[in-house]
Amino acid sequence: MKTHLLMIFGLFALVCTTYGLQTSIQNDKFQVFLPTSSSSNTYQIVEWSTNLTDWQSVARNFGTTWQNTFPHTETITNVNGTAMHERNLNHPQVYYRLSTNSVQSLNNTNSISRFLQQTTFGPTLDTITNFLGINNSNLNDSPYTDYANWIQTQIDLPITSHRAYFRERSNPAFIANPAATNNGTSLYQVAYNDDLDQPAFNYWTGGNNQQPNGSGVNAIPNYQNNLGEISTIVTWTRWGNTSYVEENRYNDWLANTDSTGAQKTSNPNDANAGGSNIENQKKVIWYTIAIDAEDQLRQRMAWALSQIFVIGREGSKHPQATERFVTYYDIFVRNAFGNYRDILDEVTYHPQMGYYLTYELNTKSGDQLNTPDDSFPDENYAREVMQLFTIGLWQLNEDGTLKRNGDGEEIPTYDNEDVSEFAKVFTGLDKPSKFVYVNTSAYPNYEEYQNQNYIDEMRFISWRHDYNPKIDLYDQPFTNQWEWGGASYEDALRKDIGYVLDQLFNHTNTPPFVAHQLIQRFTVSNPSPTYISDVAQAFKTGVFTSGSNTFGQSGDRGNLEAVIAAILLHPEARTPSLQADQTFGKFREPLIKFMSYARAFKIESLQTYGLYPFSNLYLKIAQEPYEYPNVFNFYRPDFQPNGPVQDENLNAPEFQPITDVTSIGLPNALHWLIYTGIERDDDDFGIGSKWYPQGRLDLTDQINIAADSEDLIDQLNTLVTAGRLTQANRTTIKNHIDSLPAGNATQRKTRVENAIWLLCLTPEFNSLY
Amino acid sequence: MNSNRRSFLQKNCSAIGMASLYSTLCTMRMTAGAAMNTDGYKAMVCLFLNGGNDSFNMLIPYSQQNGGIDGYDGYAAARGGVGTDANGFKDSSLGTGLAIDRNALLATRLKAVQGQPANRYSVHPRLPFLKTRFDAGDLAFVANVGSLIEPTTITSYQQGSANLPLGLFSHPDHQMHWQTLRPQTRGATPKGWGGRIADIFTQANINGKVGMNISMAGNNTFQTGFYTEPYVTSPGGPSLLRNYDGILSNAVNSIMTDVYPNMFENTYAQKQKNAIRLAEEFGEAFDLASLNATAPNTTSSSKNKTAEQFAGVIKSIKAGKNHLGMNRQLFFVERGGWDHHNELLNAQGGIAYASNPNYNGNLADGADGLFYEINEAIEYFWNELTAANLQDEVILFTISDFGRTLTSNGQGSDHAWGGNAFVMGGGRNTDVTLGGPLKGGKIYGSYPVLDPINNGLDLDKHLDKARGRVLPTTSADAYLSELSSWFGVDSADLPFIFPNCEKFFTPAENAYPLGMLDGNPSGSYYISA
Repeated sequence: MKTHLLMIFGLFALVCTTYGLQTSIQNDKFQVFLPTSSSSNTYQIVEWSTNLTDWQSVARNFGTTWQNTFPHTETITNVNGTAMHERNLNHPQVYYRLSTNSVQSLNNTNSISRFLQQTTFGPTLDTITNFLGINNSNLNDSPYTDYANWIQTQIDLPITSHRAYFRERSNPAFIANPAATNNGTSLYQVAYNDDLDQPAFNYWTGGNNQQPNGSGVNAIPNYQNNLGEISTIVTWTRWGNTSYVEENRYNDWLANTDSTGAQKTSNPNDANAGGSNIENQKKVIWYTIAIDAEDQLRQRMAWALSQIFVIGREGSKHPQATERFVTYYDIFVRNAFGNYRDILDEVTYHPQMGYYLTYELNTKSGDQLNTPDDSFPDENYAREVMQLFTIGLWQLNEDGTLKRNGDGEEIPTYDNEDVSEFAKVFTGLDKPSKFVYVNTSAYPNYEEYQNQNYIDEMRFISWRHDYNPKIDLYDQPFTNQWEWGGASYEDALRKDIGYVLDQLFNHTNTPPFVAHQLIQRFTVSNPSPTYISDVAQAFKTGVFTSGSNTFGQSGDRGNLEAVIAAILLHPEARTPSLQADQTFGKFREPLIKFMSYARAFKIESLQTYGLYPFSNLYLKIAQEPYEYPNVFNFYRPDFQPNGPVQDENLNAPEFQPITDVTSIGLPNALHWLIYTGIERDDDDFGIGSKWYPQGRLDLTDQINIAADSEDLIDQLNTLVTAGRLTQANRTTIKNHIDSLPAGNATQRKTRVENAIWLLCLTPEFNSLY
Repeated sequence: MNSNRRSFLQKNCSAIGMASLYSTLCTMRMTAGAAMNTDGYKAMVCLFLNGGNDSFNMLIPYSQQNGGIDGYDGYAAARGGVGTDANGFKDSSLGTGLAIDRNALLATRLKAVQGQPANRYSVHPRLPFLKTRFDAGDLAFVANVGSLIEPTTITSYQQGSANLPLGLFSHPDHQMHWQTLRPQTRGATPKGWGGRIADIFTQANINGKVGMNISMAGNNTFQTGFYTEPYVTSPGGPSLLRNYDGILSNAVNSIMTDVYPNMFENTYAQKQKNAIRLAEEFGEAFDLASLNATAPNTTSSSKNKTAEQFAGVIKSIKAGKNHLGMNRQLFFVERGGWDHHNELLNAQGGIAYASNPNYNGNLADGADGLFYEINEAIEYFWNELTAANLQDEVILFTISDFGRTLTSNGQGSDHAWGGNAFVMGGGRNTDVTLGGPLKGGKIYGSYPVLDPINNGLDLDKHLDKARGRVLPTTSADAYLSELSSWFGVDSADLPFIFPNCEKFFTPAENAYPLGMLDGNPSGSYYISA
């Protein structure tokens, strides 16, 4: 890193070409000229200081143009192609310095691995080597055509629906019937009673026993045991009311033979041939899709969106009811490249959200103070739909910086009155009826457990809704009058809700608010105002172009295809020289890191028919699907850990759950995965629920080259750390491997296990930049 | 998107700038050693009720003098009427009111108090142990306490002339208020008051192996200072890094101690390094400590999450005091689930099991409610303390985001402001020669008159939309300063720990503004003859 120092004394201007920075005085302003760099592999930063000890950065250039840096209060202007920083002449004395760094650009393989770390649940040798454009010399040059093509391909892939995945494996007569739609969602039958020619309910195995072969009057007959290993997805059965019993025949239906054609038999280790914890079903679906699904970008986007529209871990009375959770999650899967406004609608009308944010059965105010039954509508959703889903707490400029009033203070977006007014809007909704229609072709979706349906759209109860005029965010009254007659009550309610959601969706805050959070989930924790602004523009206009690729549609505000393309194809996400900026990048989510090992090392399912039944990950790594600790997600967007991040007043959300317990938890969990597999344990619970392994890594690709530690480390460096491994750590790991024998396959396996476990402790693996 | 600036180039509009807070710290660390009191052993345990405890159903007026307006009748009217049966369990046939039936409050009625609108108060029927301790003098309540920047009246609130805490009625903001005690700044950059205490307590734990602050409930801002961070562990003690032995440990150490310019890598390496080391050191001492009894199971299958954390605290106290050379420790325990928009009475009070003829299990009445769990946990904690004779050295106190609206939203209550807290520690018996630090058996602060017509502290009363959001009359500053003074913080240092405290009281004159504690060392109290 070369540094040039320029001293500026008070009002005197010095032209010091030998110091690398030119200055002048013009129009009563002091100007410092910022030199242009020559290539995209050069990173330049200009800092200033009053005491030559504490330096604050002013501007940086990573091969495109100069831009200001945090706290983004200094203006960088461009005049006639020359960039400069201007100050008033009475500004206190400062020193400037310019630093230039040329970085070694990543080779294509490592660049692609890095891209896949941003966009999938982890790179694999296959997805790297099969990346179209891997040999193009302009892979990393704007407009990043190969990356854009990959994004387009991902968008075009068929959707892996979590709900369909569940239904396929809980109903042996499953028929995919995308033609049967309601509100644009595809419906799938749960089960079907051929004898009665009607759908059968989703069911649970009665009595005290959730195993299909359990004892008691509600148990399913013994013949099921002869069907072989019971799968780990167990559906519910209900005895009584019908003589029809839908036993779990997933294992029977999927394959009772293995790949050689041999009959699979019961696992002798599993005396209680039964399923795993039912509460785990939805998570097992999530893990399996994250690891194996092709539409990786869509699944990452869904995961990111689910961290905005959070339903926390205590969000349902029935965590064992799988289908309601996966239908909620599917909102984000289906709309990942759809429109944000549609997501707002679907979330608002979903009964899971109605329960979680407590507007299920919300009722308008009673009479005023003096009557005993006085009550007011619940304010929870009204507050959170603003604070968390759309506009946030403070007015923002389009580039994400805070607006300020004349006194320099932040400006709130809403006050408590607004919350009370909007609370009146979210009244009159209830969870849907137990049966919506008993009609096999049109709408056979229902879930029955203690007579509650948390799957279909919320229903409407007219007398609970407040039809009086209300005041909106801009102090304008709005009212959607009803007329006599049943249907128009519902119409008025929908118009009320639609009015509020539209107003929030169209608020100027929403594009930067959403852009900032989505950027944080994919590329960097501290996007520059330029980056936020460009992504916000994509949200606002609905379209983003990069070279000859166009994403989204002009005029379609909230188009998420445009947004994700803008995030991934921005120079701030793609420019290699930014590695030299010590504040660049992010700390990776623990769950994504954990999944990346399962993917990279080709986890295989043992006796679980392609499922990966991890268990208890939250205790270890502080992240698990469906286990968001509360409505504020696993971490806040503005969390700052102690140390250099906080000193620079920057954000690193993913550090929030990192404690002395969970920082050790991740390498311990990976230790289990690497050395043992998905298995349960007494000491620290392991990562499985059975006392035998239900999944194991396949390290063949690594074992084959493990005799040569250089080759091994090269491959792992690409696969796990995208080429970031420091020379020092490379040496440390290599020396350790070299100290282990490599005579036979077992010894080589040990080398590999040690190597990849050490790698998971490296900061290069844990961060992304 | 942070508004806070620690950059020396930025002007800071607030009265106490972040830069000056930090530089004050630097000065204090040089001189604080002489002033703080680190004699003996003391520990504070913060129990954070996350979500906003509806604490006007925790401490309830019982008396009906003056027509009941100042007491029970006013309370019942404010809460929209009685919502429970005579045993305190929700009765849905009664409508939407949130008040506990007065008959249910007799068994948990506290001994008489003075200086409050009513002379008898009760605790919620499922909190009998709090009554036991209160009547014995080991527990006190702090009434209507909340986060404030300066003394605020209804008038100054309604006219907009008062400086109000930022983000009123929002969870994350109020949670920060109670942790940073600097509600004029959003977010965590002011650091936490527990962290600030650890920062200046240079003379405490001088031979200590682990930091002063230990958390059973994850990272938190409260215990994070400019120099110090909490050591986070779990009730079972720290978990060790697997495989960390032999030559592998050398490789691990190399990786952890390397230099990383990227700030995310750097932060990770530091944290990981500390976690690995501390797990080994602290773990050893933790395992040497024993419990008198294991933490109870509230039901046959689920553990009492609060008691579990208390068990971890007890072991950490013994580990710290007996094996790690600690003389001042500050603990953080958290119990979530208090955000009772949707259901208050059942969530706090639970369901009647034992008296239900249709139920044939073995759950106690109300066992599924939060108060039952707290009651059981507090009792467990007290028993552990007394078994080890620690009760005069350990003070437990509660905080919560805010109190809740007195009025109902149909089934529950919404976000409000002032609420009630409690403090437990060895009691000072005024009639004897020796005693503990806490002048218990009293309600400190000012319990409001809750009656809707006479409640002069209802924020929205003037708008005819009164929801029973009560303006706090005691500041969190006064409450927590008092505890910190007992802990050993010198009165001259209080304004650094609590930047707004001088607006509420004058530390130099009286570092114990509420009067629940005082500066006398434990065990040496005497009444002059």
